[in-house]
Amino acid sequence: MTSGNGNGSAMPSELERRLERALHDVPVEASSDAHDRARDAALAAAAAPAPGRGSTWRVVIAAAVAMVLVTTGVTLAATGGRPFSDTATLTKPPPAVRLHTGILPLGARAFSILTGGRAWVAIPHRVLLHGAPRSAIAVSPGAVYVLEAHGRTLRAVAAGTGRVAQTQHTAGPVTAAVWSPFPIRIAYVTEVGGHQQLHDEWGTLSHDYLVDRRVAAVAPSWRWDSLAVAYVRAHGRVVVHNATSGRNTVIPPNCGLRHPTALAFAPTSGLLAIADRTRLRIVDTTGGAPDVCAAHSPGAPSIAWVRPHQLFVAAGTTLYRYLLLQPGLGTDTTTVPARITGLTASPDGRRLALAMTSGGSTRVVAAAAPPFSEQATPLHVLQLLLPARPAAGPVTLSWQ
Amino acid sequence: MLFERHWGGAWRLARTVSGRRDMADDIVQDAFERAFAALGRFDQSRPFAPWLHRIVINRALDLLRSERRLVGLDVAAHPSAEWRDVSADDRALLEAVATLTPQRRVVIVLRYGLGYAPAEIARMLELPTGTVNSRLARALDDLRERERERDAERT
Repeated sequence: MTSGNGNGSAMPSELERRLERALHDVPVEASSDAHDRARDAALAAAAAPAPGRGSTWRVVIAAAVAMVLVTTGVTLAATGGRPFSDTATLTKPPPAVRLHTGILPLGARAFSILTGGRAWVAIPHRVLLHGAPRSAIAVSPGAVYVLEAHGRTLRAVAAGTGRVAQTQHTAGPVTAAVWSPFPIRIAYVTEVGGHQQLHDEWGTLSHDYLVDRRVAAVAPSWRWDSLAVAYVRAHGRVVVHNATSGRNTVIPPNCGLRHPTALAFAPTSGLLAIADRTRLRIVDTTGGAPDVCAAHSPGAPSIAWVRPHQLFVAAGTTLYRYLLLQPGLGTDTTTVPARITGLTASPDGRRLALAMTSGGSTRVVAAAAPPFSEQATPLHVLQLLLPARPAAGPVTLSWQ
Repeated sequence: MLFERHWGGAWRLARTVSGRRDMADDIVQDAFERAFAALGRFDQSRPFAPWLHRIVINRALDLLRSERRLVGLDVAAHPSAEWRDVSADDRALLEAVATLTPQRRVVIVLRYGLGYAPAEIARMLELPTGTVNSRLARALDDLRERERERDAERT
């Protein structure tokens, strides 16, 4: 065996040649999502302000990174976009622009964020809750009352005065609460004995009715007429509960959905969007139209209707826009460099609020709803609603 | 572009320096996060790869050290080598590399896996070139010794 020279100045030994071959051919056996996680973390880190960051790179970053949130109307790196190049030579400083910040989206009557057991609620000129410990939060249509759950107490607080209008003690911690579109009823999910229960009651927190003792930990959804609420049973079957007759209608399974984790009624019809980690189903619960099925990227989905026949579904790092056709489904996608962990739409459907998680932190932003486009449309961020904070699972957003 | 161009190489480096496939994902993610967060301090007149590779190495060694504190010396000193999709000969060699001390493993991987010259490794690790050459020579000696032991076991 020849002695190793190590410095490359002499002929390599047999061992060195074998080392070169073996080490150079090491297969990249990263886990399936390692690449995307690393990329998201890198982009998030690049976007974060850092003292001493050179102006040149700041320009590169400000111009290209998606979650940046440092410029008004910043472009979230869209489908396929990669922000950096090895030879970036930009030298001009970034334009002096500001991103609006604040928990309340511009023009909104109320906005709420719930994540990791903390809640933020804002109405014009007033922040009602700022990171307060709450297990569920729901702002009534018109932002008259804020329903907040803490421990086994459910309270309706007048948004304008902060006065507690009603208090109710529940059988267990409330994990989700939803006002009906006409703010006369509330559906809430509470955990009792290790199981989730669905209740329906009046908006006065009275006339409490136990709808189902075994439901999934999925927020229910009210139909536009406030007469029915859809929910997911513990075993994954979707049920529409008629709040006036008490009758339950089980939605037969279809489209290959197994355990739905999100559902949402359309704003003016009985169309119900149901999603699990990989599939979307839109079922007509009142008209009998054929089901519409679609697949999406794996991930916990969020659903937001923006028009009677248009909705967004966020899953993984992709935002899908669906247009219900007669028949069929039009689809467009926007990819963002972060996992979307929460989604809601403004009442006019023109803007979205998204919770985006990457690199262990979550931000909430308001963005223009991406239009249907033949070209990859960037996500146009309008406002930073909640600065980066440690990620704590799904984010529940509501926009009034 | 920057990320895509360097991710594979960084992963291989993390994999071979740590000797652990499960650890490589975290090392690379952490390294890219740190690298991109510190881009402002990066001298653009210099190549990006050595800078990133140094961060990868530091993160790998940090993680190995922290794991050694948690699980005891044996595991970290001889990280399990789970090489798949490589020939038997290469696997034996990679397993031998995995048994080197981290300092020697690093210079071997940089020299033969990524093709850095000893002087470049010295700059990257902020060591005298002589120290790098010394570590390389000792690492090669260690590997030869491992091979002799393996051959003896076979016979």
